[in-house]
Amino acid sequence: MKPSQPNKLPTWLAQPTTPVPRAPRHQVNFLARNQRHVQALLARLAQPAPVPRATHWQLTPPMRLLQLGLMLLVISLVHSPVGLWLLALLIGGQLLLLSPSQLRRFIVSWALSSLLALSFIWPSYWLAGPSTLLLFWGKSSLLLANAQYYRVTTALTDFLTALKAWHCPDVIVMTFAIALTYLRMLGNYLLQTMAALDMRTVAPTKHPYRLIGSLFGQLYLKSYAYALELYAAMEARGFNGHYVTVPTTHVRWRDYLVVSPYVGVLLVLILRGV
Amino acid sequence: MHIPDNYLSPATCGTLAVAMTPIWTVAVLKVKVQIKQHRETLPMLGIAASLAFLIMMFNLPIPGGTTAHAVGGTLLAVLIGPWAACLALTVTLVLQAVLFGDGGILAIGANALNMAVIMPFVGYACYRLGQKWHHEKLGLAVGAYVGINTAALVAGIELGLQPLLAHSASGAPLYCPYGLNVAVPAMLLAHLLVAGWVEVAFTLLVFQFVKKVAPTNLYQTPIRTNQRPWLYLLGGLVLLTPLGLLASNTAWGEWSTSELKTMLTQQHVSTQVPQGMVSGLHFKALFSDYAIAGLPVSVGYILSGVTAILIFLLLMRGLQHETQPTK
Repeated sequence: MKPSQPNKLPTWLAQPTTPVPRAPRHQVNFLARNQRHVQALLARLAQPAPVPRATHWQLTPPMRLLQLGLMLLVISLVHSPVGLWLLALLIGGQLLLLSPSQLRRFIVSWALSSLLALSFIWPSYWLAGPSTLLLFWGKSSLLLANAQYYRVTTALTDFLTALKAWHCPDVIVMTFAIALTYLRMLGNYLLQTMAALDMRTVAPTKHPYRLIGSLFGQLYLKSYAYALELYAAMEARGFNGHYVTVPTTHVRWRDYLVVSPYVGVLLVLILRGV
Repeated sequence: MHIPDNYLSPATCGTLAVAMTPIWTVAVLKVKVQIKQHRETLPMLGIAASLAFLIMMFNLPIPGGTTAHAVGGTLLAVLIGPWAACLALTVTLVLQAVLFGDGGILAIGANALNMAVIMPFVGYACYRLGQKWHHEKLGLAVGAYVGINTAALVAGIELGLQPLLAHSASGAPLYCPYGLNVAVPAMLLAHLLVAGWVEVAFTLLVFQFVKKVAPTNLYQTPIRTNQRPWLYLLGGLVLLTPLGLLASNTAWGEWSTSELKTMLTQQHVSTQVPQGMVSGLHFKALFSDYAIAGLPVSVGYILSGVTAILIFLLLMRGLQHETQPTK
């Protein structure tokens, strides 16, 4: 049977549609760029690079933290190029213990942060001359190298152990532990929310800031719900307000031996009135 | 605003870390009280620290094609309370410095003072004022803007003082080479024009969302009934006032032009007093240096102290609301 008249299309299909204007480039990139940042953070937190363990002369975590602090202090106080050179040789020698992959990671990260430091300090060339610029940059790079070396060679739990050993209040140590654990969880939630927003957004938002309120507001409310559940779980497991999950470590004589040269140099620098 | 290592001298870093110690101690004690009332505050501290981390990592687009990030100091103070925000932000700053290389390890004290104390407390004070005057959102916006800019100003001053505090015999700066005339405008300009507005927008949008969806999750300021600790503190300070009489030298930064000239000459900085100080305003106070004509210095000092306290007490009394007696 032949239809008497052809089927009419609905009006919304019959009318020509104007294409939806694309969001400006910076608006499209805004969520994507942040997604990349969060992904990088999650990758770093999820798969931390294996920490190389020295077979001999392995310092305890509290001493490693002390060593880092003393080393940074010594570098800050030394103003002679020869002294800085010697300190650079020391960190260079330590770097030899790293595996090739970790060394490459160290170099990339250190080079980037050093270049960033240079960009901040570059205008001082016209204010204070090249010698100040070079000395400042050299010292900054050395400080960054030491901090980066600590990061590469220290596990997060070792950092908590060191804080506990140095009599940091339980509230603070626990806050660190929870922050490190939940950073990954909240980061994951933020990433998923951004991905959901990205997929649901078929037309450009009037302003990218409109998303921020719901994005971080939901993140806060989710955090609050997590906190309630977490406390209930902690209480159920017999939590009594003390942080005891971190293993206690005993400082050995060789730890003092390793740290003593730094203390000696520091005392000399202070007594010389540098 | 994260000050890296080597921009501040170790003496400055040490001084600011020591200055932060009592603040951290009070924060821990205050938070312990808060935990007793609301148990969830304990895990919330850690979660708020990670939230602050994510806020500082999240880049927002700004006109001109570049990006900026909020700090969230005022927002956290409003959400979990200023003392808890102080601890959470400190933890975030330590994590950023030690584990992620953002900000200095030696400069933790300075960064914590700027971002974990000044920003949340200034912001929260403005928010409370706004709440009192029934303009909560306006107070929050002003708080976020003033908080971040005050923190930037202090950071600028800390950096700008370095060439004066630490320099070689030839006058070359040993740490941050930018003086106050460069550091303060550079820090303030960026925050007044861009970062401050980003902070305002971020704080307001998230606050509005939380207030609309779950208003009970906002931090409720405890009603203060006991004023006794403050009275003890004030009384103690009054008793300690005569200690000032023991000091013989002029306080740092309160030098007269002749004293300043002597010091500048001794330290080989300059042989002339800055022109602005010579030709600037010279106000003649009624009781200059707390001295009252015809009276010994010590009596004048104590009388000035008592007078100032009385004036402030009268002002406070005058500004207080009238309490209706209950029948």
